[in-house]
Amino acid sequence: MTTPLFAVECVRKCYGGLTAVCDVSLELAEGDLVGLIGPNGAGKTTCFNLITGADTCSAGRVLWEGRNVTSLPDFRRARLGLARTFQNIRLWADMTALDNVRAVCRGSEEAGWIDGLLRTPRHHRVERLVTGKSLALLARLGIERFADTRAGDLPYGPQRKLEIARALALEPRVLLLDEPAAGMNPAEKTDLMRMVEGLRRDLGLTILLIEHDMRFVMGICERIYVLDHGERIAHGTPAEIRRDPKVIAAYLGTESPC
Amino acid sequence: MDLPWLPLALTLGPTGLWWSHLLVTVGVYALLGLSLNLINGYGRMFSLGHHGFWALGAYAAALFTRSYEGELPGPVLLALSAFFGMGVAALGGLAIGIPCLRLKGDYLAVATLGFAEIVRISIQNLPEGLLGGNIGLSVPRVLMEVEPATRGTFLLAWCAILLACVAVVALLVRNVVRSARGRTLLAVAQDETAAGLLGINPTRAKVATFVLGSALAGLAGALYAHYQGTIAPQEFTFLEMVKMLLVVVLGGLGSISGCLVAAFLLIYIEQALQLAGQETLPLGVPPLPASWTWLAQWWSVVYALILVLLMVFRPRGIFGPRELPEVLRAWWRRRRPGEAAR
Amino acid sequence: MLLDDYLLNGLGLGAIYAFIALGYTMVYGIIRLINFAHGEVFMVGAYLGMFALRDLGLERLPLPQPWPVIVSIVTTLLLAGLGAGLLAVVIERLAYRPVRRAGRIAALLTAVGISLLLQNVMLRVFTATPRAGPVAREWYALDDLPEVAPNDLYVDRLLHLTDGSTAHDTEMVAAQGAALPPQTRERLAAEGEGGLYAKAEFSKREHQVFVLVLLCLFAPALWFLVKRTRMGKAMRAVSEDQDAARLMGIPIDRVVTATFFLGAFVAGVGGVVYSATYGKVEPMLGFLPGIKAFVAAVIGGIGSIPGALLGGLLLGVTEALLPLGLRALGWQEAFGWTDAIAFAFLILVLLVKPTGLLGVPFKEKV
Repeated sequence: MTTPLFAVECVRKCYGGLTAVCDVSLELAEGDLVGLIGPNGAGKTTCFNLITGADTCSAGRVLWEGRNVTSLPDFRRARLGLARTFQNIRLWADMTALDNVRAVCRGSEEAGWIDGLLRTPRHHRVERLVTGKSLALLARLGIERFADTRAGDLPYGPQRKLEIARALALEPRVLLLDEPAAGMNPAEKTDLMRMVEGLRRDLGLTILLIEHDMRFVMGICERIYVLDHGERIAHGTPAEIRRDPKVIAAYLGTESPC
Repeated sequence: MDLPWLPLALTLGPTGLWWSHLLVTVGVYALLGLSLNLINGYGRMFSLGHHGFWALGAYAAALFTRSYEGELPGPVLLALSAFFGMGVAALGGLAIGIPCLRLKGDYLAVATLGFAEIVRISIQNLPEGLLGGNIGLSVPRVLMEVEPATRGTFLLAWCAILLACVAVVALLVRNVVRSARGRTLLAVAQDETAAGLLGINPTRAKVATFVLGSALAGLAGALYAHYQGTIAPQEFTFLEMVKMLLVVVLGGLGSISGCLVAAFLLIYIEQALQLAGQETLPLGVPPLPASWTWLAQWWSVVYALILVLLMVFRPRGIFGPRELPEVLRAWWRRRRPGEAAR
Repeated sequence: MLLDDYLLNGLGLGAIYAFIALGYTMVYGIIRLINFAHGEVFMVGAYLGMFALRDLGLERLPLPQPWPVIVSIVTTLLLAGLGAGLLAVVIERLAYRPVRRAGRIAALLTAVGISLLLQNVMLRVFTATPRAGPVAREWYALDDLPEVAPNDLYVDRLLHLTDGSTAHDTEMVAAQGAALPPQTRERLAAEGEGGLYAKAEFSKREHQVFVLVLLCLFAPALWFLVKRTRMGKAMRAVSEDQDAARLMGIPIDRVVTATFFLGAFVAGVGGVVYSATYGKVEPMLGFLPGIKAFVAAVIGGIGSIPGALLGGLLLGVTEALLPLGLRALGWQEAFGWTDAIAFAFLILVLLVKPTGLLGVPFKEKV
């Protein structure tokens, strides 16, 4: 069995007396498109936080290509190739859309402080490279016309797309999407579904997404994990999940006798 | 130190002398404002200890010049001294930045304030043979002796030095902000958590900015010390920090041109008020009635009032986070509504 | 001096810091503002106390000693507290409330501005010369003087100067422990004017014990207020989540005003005691204690009332004892560096506990 690209094993997160995430295990193989669902408050975003390092695990491990990265700070995990978007948009509002992407973009070369201060040839080289890549990413998501607009002034849809573009600037291997379809109408959601599939196909990404829209999740995910009250209650294909009585109970409450 | 431009001294009348001194002072505060803008404006870090780096730079440069006086030609000594001051201030920034920059907002403000106070108290309490204590430390003249005949030349020379430095530093700040590292800093400033999760090391960005800002404050200190001729710890109090803060906030956090304009305005008003009621005024100073001299005495109160009123009515400052060309363009567009329809 | 003298010094000073720190911490807890002007409110309280004690004349009440002194002191403390509280309310209404929405830097700069404003206004009005701190006096009529003077006996006369103003002229007429000489008694009886008083002088030690007693009274009172009363609950609600509190119908503005008043009241009382203990009042009185008290509040964890108490006492004791220890280790000039030591202590605490000793770590929701 190939080593999964990344996995979390029995992670737990306790806030004082409340256990937000309890002994949850997930794994993703390269190229997977997996969904993470569950009722509100199930601990999905907390899981994301534990995976990305925004929060520290009270117990358990996070593994990247078999390596234990649990103690690695968030920015190092990101540099390994783990990118994410946020449930509430967290763009850098006072920067332009282009700058939002350029800030994350890294080339093989890095321009340091001296390069920036003195405008060395390296600075110009890196600027050209980074600007080119960033514009390409904006174009891929269809928002290149907003390149010089202040991110905070953008309409909601382009903002969500900018979040994705920014995450892609990391040239990640794994992309975590936190409710990417929130606030979109059905047409936009269909577009997004196609785009997510396209990203996986064209960029070879592995994707884990949190979503509430069942049509969205069932429509593109190959596998689905279900959380409820911090515990993993089910795992399987969309078809299996749809029929799983525990999942139904979690979303609809216990069945009535009649 | 005989310099070939000595004859110029005779042509500088009271107007020239007043304005030269003004511009030098403006220059010092502009440098302080620009460097503080990096930290508090672009970086949105809350430093209240900038005057500590100013002091470090001033005293380090003073000590350097005192040690090497006579061994090096004047301008060279000045330059090396300035670099030394910058270096010491930068080290100070590193020393205080690394531990403290993970503190949030108000806690950082208090820690930096504490640091600056430690610097000042240390200067006061160290043996007088070392740093001059409360009496002050004298800084040898490296460019020329200041006699009445050469005063004009002296002032013009310093004017030139300061304006050149301000221009260079303004350019450097602009360069940095529009570079890769600059974008990193802005990202960390606007949402540190998101930046961290997207691969940016927030501590490294903040510390580097802090070190750069403190180095530039050290430059201001070095120049200030050499211009003044003597420095004393009483000149590096929290009130000075408030002045710097006012320059930055009045100009608009994150605006280079705003910073320069604000520094000029504040120092100009301060100096002009002190001439209120005088008969002969330098050109460019409006004749103010003698009754306004009370304003000059109450100037610290006025500063405070300006600060409060500014915060209540226009916290963005004169230019907000924009630069002068953009402001002019926006104003022009509003005067010509036809062109605005784009 | 003995070790426990230093300790009491430290505790007494620490109690004053705690008084001021309470105001800082309460205001910060409610609106996340470092009220830089708080030290100046403390200073104004001291001035009010000095004037109240001197000019209200409550000490001349026709009651048996020591009651007039007690009434006078209590009234002075109350008035100083009220005056300081009122000042804080005015500041909040005029300067802080308009900038509440403008962001942290704006609010902080406003506070700095108000602080400078108060300092400089007082400097212009009262000049930088320190005045004598409030001293309680026991007044006696010539007829019911005790046999032996309990303390140096003075006579206080009101002089009317040529330019219309009045001045006080004091003359010592008997030393402590001595009896009033008969010739002096006749002379004073013939004059008819003026009053006789002995300064009800308390030793520094007694002052410090007094302030500690006050602290022991205030602290539980405040705890009760915050934990048990409706206003206290409202304060805690607002400090946890202002928007939710507003939605629940809590009158935010009134709660904030009450918080400011309370914190300033306590600081004003502290100001009177401080100036009485150290014997002087001056416009810059609040500057250093203000910063130190703020340091104390941060050390204890800003936003936490027990933290303010702990931080204040800890800082006071450290300030008193650490230089002593350092001097014992050979560093002779340690005492000149007391203030620097206080700041260094602050930075050290923040390094280990970034939100103070009892502070709540700020967890961000991603």
